[in-house]
Amino acid sequence: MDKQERHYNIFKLNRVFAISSILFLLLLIWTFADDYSRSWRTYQSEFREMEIVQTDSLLKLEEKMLNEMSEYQEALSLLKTVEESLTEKDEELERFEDELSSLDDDKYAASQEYISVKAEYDVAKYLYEEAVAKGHGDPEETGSKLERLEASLLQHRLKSEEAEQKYEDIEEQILGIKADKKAAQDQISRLRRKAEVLGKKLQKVDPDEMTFGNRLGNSIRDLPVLDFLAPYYKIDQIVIKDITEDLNFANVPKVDRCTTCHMGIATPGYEDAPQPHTTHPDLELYLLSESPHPKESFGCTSCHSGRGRGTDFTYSAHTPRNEEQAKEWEEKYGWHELHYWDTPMFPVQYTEAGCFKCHNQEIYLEGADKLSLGTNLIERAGCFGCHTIERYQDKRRIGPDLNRIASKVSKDWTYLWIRDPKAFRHNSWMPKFFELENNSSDEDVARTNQELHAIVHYLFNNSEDFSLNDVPRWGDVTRGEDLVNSLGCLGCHRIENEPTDEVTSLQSLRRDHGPNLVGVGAKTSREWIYNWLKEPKRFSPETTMPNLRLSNQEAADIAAYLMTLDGNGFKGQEVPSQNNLELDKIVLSFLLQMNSDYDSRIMLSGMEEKEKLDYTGEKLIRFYGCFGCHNISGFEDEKPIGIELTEVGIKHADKLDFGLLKIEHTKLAWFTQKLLHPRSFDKDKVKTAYEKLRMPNFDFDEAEVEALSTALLGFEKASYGVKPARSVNPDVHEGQWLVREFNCQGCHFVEGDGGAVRPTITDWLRSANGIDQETAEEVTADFSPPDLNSQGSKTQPDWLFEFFKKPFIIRPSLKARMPTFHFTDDEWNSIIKYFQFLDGQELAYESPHHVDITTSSYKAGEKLQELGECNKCHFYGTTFPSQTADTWAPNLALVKERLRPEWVSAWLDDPQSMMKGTKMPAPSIPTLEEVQDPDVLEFVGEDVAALAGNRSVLINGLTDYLYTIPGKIDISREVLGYFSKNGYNFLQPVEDEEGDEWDDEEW
Amino acid sequence: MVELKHFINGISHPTVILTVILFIYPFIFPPTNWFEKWNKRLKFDFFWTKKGLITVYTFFIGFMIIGVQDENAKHILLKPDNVPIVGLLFLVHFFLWLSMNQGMKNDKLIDAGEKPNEYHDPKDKVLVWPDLVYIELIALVLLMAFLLVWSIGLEAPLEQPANPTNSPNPAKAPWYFLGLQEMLVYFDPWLAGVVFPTLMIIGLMAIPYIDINREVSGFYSFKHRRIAASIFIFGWLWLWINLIMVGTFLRGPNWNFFGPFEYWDLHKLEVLTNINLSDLIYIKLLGVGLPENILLREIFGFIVFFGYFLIMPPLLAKTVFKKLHQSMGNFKYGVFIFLVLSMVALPIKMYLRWIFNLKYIIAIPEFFLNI
Repeated sequence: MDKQERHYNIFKLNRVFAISSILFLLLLIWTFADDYSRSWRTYQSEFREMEIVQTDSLLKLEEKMLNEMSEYQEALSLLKTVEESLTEKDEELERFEDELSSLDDDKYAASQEYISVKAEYDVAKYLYEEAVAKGHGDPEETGSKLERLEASLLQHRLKSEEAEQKYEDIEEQILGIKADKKAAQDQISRLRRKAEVLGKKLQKVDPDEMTFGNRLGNSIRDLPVLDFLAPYYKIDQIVIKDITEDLNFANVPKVDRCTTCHMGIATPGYEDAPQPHTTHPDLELYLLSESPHPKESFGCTSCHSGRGRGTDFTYSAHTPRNEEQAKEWEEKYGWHELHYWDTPMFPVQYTEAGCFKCHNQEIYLEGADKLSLGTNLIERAGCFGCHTIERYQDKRRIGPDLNRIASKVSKDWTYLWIRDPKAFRHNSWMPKFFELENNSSDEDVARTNQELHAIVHYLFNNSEDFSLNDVPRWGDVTRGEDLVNSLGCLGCHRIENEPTDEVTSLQSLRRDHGPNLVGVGAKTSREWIYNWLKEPKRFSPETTMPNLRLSNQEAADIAAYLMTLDGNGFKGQEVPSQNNLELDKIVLSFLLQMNSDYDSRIMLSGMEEKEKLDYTGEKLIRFYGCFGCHNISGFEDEKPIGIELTEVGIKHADKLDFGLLKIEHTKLAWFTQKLLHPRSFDKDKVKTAYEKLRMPNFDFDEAEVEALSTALLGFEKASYGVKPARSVNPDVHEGQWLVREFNCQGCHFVEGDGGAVRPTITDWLRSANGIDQETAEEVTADFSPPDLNSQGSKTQPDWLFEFFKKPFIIRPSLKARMPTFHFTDDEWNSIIKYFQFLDGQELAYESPHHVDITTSSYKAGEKLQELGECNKCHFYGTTFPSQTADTWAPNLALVKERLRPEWVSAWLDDPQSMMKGTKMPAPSIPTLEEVQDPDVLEFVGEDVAALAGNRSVLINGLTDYLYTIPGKIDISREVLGYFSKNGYNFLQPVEDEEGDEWDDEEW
Repeated sequence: MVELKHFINGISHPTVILTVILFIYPFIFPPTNWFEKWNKRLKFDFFWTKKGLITVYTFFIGFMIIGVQDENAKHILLKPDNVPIVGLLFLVHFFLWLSMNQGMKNDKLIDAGEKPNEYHDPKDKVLVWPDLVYIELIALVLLMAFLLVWSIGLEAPLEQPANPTNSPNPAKAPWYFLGLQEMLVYFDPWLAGVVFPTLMIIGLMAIPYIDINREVSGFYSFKHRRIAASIFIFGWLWLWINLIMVGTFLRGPNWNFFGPFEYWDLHKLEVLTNINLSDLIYIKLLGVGLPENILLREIFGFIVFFGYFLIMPPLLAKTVFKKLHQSMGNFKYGVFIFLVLSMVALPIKMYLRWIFNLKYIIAIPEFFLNI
C-alpha cells in the first residue's frame, strides 16, 4: 500500500476523537451525578441525621434515668463493695488459681493415659473374640492379656475421675468467691439493657461513635460502583406474597418501596418530624409486627393504593388532598398527576376507602368512621334501590310500601310530597326529583306538573283496599306523648320541626331510621296511625317498624298525640290543574320510544284520558325508578335503573361522563359533583326530556359527600388472599346486617356503639320526674335499653332465642319496651351467632348447669346471698324486692334459664368491668384475714368462713345458689300491674331516703 | 394569534393540506418540461439552495416555537413518544435537501457540458483502515453521548401494565407503522396490512431492474431522471413520511383529525356515513334496490377496478408514458405501471372517501373481499 495514500487528515480525526471522548466522559459523570442525586438519597441521609439525634437523646435520657434509679445505683455500689472485698481475698484467689492450673495438667495427663489404655484394651478384646470364635490365635494367651488390661483400665479410669473431681472442687471455690460480683454485674447489665441497645444502634448510624474500621467502611460503602456490596443508602422494599397485583395477564406479589423514603413510618418518636419522615398516626393498628396489619404482610399500597414500586414523589402516584396541596406539591416536588396509573393513592381524607379491599363484607368497621358513615348513608338513602351494589343485593326497599297508599294519604298530599318532599319534612330521606338543574325551565315545569298527576294517578289507581279498624277508645294526648318519649320510639324517630345543626354521624343516623314524625297529623288519619301502631306488618309486610305490643288504650293515646303533630304541612301550596295538552305530549314521547311516529299518533288519538294517565304513570314510575325504594304493584321484579356501583371504585375517570362541565377530570371530582348536584352534567347539553339525567337530589352536605365518596371509592372486588374473620363467617355478616337494618343500636349498645335513644330517655326522666338534667343523666343508663356488651357470653342461646321470639320484662323498672320483631328462626340465629362471635363464644349446645346443694360451697353461697341482701333489689319470682321501684333489678328466678354460669361468676366477681357504670355492687367476699376476727366469723357463719380466702369457690357457690332460686319466671304481669297502679314517676326526689339509695342496681 | 391558530388548524386537515401539497408537488419536483418551466418561473429551486434550507428550517423552528406556547400543541410536540418524529421532520428534510442540492449543481454542470461533481471528487474514496474504522468509532462515541443526553433529559415514556379493559385512545401503532395505520382508514386490513406492504417491498426491490439507465448513474441528478425521482419522492414523502406525520400529530382520540392547536376532545364526533359504490349507483343514482346477485351488485365495482388496472396501462402507454413504454418494452413497462397504479390507488381512494364518502369500490363482505 502506498504509505502516502490518505484521504483523511489523521490529526483532525484524532482531535475530533479526543473531543468526543471527553464529551462522552463528562456525560458519563453527569449520568452518575444524575443517578446519585435522586430524592430518596437525600431523604435517607436526612433521616439518618434525625435518627442520630433521636438515638443520642434517648440514650442520654436513659443514662439519666439510670443515674436517678436507686436500684441501679445500689447495684453499682454493691459491685464496688464486692470488688473491694475481693481484693482482700486476692491472695487466696491467686493460690486457688495456681492450683487449678496444675490440676488441669494432671487431669489432662490422666485422661490421656486412660484413652491409650482403652485403645489397647479394645484391640485385646477384638483379638480374644477372634481367637475364641474363629481360632485365629491362642484364646488363653489373648484372654489373660484382656484380663490384665481390664484391670489396668479400671485403675486409670479411677485416676482420671479423681483428677477431674479435684479440679471441679477448686473451680467451685473460686466461683464461690466471685459469686457476689457476678450477681451484681448481671443486675447491672439487666438494668442497662435498653441503654446498650441504644448505644449499639448509635454506633451503627453515627460515624462519630464508630470504631475506626467501621468509620472507614462507612466512608466508602456508598461510593458509586462500590455500593453494590453493602450500601447504607439503598432502596428498601417489602415484597408481599399473599397480596398480589393484577397485571391482567399475571398476578405478581406486591412490591412496596415506600419505606425507602418514609423511613420513620414504623418507628415511634417521629410524630412531629416533617414528611416523609413522619411516624404513621396509628401504629397500634398498622405496621408494627404486633399490630393486626404488620407491614411485612400488608405493605403500604395494599391499603393506600398508589404505585408501590415508585421511588420518586410523582412516580409513586401521590394524590393531593385538594388544589392548594396540588399547587404546593408542584412547587416543592415538581409533582404532576401520574396519568398512566390506574390506582393512584387515595387522597388522605379518603384513605379509609382502602379498608374495603379486605373488609368489604363488614357492615360496621370499627375505626373507619368515615367509611362507616358513607355506607350508612348509602343504606339510609337507599342508593342500592337504583344502583346494584353486590354488598346490598336482595335487600329490602327502604321506602314505605305504596301498595295500600290510598288508605293512608290523600292524592293532593301525595302530589305535593313527590314534587318537593323537603318542603313538608325538612329531613326526609325522600329525595327531590323535580325543579332541579336540568328540569326547571318553564317548559320543564309545565311537563313535570303533568307527570306528577300521572304518577299519583297510577299509585292510587293501583292501591289495594286496606280496612282500617276503628279506634276503640278515646286517646289521651298527654299520655300518648309520655308513651312516645318513654317506650323507645325516639330510638328510631325524631320529632323535629326545624332543621338542627347536628352533624351527621352514625349516631344521628340511627335516629333517622324511621321518619321524622313532624307533620304526621297533617298527612294521615288517626285511624291509620292506630292501625299501623297495632300491627305495622299488616299495612306493610316488609317494614322494619317492629310491633311494640301496645294495648288498645296505648295505641289510641299515641295516635291522639301524633295527630297533634301537624307541622307546617304544605300550607299555601296548591296542586296545579291537569292539562291534557301537556299530558298528550308526554304520552307521545313515551309512545315514540317504542313505535313509529305514524303509529304513535294513531295510538294517542285512540286513548281515553284514564288510559293516558295509566300509561304515562307506569312509564314515569319506570323512568324515575320509584320502585327502587318503594313497593309498587306492577314493579315487583323490575331491574334497578341506575348503573351498577359494585366496582365503581376502580372505574376510570375517562369512563365517566363529565358532560360539558368545566371541573377537574378525576373520579373524586365527579363523585362530589354528582352527589352535590346530580343533574349538573346536563348543563349546556342538548337532550330531550327523557334523555336527561334523572338521579334525584338528596341534599347531602359536603361532609356527607366526602363520606359517600370514601365508600364509593372503596367499592371494588377485593382480590387479596387475606380475609378478615368476619368476612368468612356468613352468620356474623347476616347478624351484623340485621342489627344494622333494624337499627338495634338505636336503643342498644352493640360493639360499644349505639344507644341513640339515651338522650331522649334523659329528657323524659327529667320531665316525667321533675329532676334536674345532671341527676337525670346520671341515672339514664339504668332506665335505658341495655348495653349488649358481652351478650354472647352472658345468655344461654336457647333462652335468648325464646326471648327474641316473645320478649318479656326483665328489668322491672324499665319503661322502654323491647319490641317484637318478626324475624325468621334463621335470622334470630344469625344475630345470636353474631353476639357469640363478638365474645369468642362458639358453643351452640351446652350442658345444663347442675348444682349439688349438699356441698359446702353451695351453703356458703346461700349465706352470701343472704348477707348481700340481694332481695333488696332483685325479685325472687313474684316476691317483690324490699326496696322501692327505682332500684328494682331482674328476677333471680330467671337466672337458671337465662344466664350462663361462667358469665354469672365473672359478673359477680367484678360487675363494673363487665358493664361500666352499673349499679350492681360486687358482693362482699370475706378474705382469710377478715374471718380471723371472731365478730366477722360469727357474722359470716361457718360455711363461708371455712372457704374464706378462696374467692372463686365462694363466688361459684353464690352462682350455684342463684341457679336454684325457685319462682315464676315471667313476672311481666305483676310488674305492669304495679306500675299501672303507681306510675313510673318514682324518681321524684324523696328527702329522707337519699342515702345509699343508688348503691344497688340491676344488671 | 388565535386566528392564526384557527387558520393552521383549518389547513391542517388532510383534505386541505394533502391537496395543497399534491398540487404543488409537480412544480417542486417537475416530472415534465412544462412543470419544469413553471418550476423555474416560480423559483422553486430556491428550496435546494443553502438559503432555501435556512428558510425552511426557520419556518420549522418558528412553528415549533409557536407550537410550544400553546398548551395543546406543546402536549403533542413534546410528548416523549413524539420526539423522534419531530427529529424525523428535520432529518428527512435535510437529506432531501442534500440530495436535491447536489443534483441541482450537477444538472447545471451537465447543462454547461461539464462532468458532474462526483467525477472529479476524490472524497468519495476512503480507506477502511484506519480511516473508516476510526470514523465509525467516533460516530459510535458521539451517538452514545447523544443517547446519554436524551435518556437523562427525557424520561422514558413508560405506561402502566397493559389492561385489556382500559386500552389507550387513540391506540397508535409504533411511529414507523403509522403510515400503514393511516391506510387502514381507507382500505380493508388485508389490503392495507398485507398487500400494500408486500407491494412496497417488491416495488423497492424491483427498482434496479426497472430503472437501468446507466448514463445517469453514479452521481446526483434530478433533471436527468426526473420521472424516476419524482415518482419515488412522491411515494416516499407524500405517502410514507407524510402519513407518519399525520398519524403522529394530527390523529387524536377515536382516530379523528385534530389540528395541531386543537384540544383532543374525547367526545368529538365526525360524520362517518360511508357507503359502497354499489349503494351509490343503485340506490342514490338509479333509485332502485340492490340486486340479489353479488356479481350483478358489484358489477360497477369490477368495471372500475379492472378498468383501472387493465385499461389504464395501454392508455398511458399511448399517451403520457409513450416514450417510456418504447424504451422499456412491454414486460418491464407492465411491472412498472402496475406498481405505479397501485401506489396512486391510495390517494385516489382517499379522495373518493373525502368527496363521495365512498367506503368500498367492490364490497363483498360475504367473502371478506372489500376493495
